[in-house]
Amino acid sequence: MRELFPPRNARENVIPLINVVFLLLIFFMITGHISNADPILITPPFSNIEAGDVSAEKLLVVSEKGEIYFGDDKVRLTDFVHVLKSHKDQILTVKIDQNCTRDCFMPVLKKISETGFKKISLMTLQAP
Amino acid sequence: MRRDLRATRRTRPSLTPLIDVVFLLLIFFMIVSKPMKDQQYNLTLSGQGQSVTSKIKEKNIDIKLQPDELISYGGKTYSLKGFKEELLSFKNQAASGQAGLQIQIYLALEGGVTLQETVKVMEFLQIAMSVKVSLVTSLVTEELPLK
Repeated sequence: MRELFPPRNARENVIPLINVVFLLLIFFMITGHISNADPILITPPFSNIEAGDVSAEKLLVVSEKGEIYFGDDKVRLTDFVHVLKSHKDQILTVKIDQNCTRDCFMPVLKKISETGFKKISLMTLQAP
Repeated sequence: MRRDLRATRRTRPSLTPLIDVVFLLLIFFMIVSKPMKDQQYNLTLSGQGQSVTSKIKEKNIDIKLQPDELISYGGKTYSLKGFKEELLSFKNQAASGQAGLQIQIYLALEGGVTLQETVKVMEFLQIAMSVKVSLVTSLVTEELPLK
């Protein structure tokens, strides 16, 4: 019986464990992407076209319920134009929930278009 | 003195604080990092489905996207595959007399269409059909006959 189950060392060798943990740490440090948290949890649409990485300082976020946030501030659709005009010289990056329907996101895009933005950057996720 | 040196050599540094710190770092990166990378998709907006005067020869087509990725065009409703075939035949007809013709599609949306469906169809038109696509931002759009 003793031969089958030899007595274990009082102190296990922890070096392999540390190796694995270090490898995991390096993996998450390299592959992970840290960014500012959104004011509201949304899932952007999936896309295969990659136009570049997101570099906008302030995001326009539209939730599934149609709530609009610019940066961390909640804005109303009526006050929206004034906020947009102050950032007209920048490229506007918009993050809209993938389940948002036309009646939810189109009023926002219409206001953006009326303000003078003809092209905007829509934030997407890489399609799986 | 000799005894002290031997004692120092034999002492094994404790790895426990190091493991603690590494585990904390690992948990931190696992929580805060996003596995999927954010991308940008350039969206061209258009107030109405109107043609813009340019030196390049352009043919404008107004289509309407319905829920479940159905395309309403020229009084008929197509799936994405069916619309591809229709557009290809139209492209060949239109390009027969005019070299270097570019097709510009104005995409209007019907109620109930989600953003994911819109992005998917716009991507399909851009990649598979090599056409320029603009999103019509007016809520009320009337279907225009195919010219």
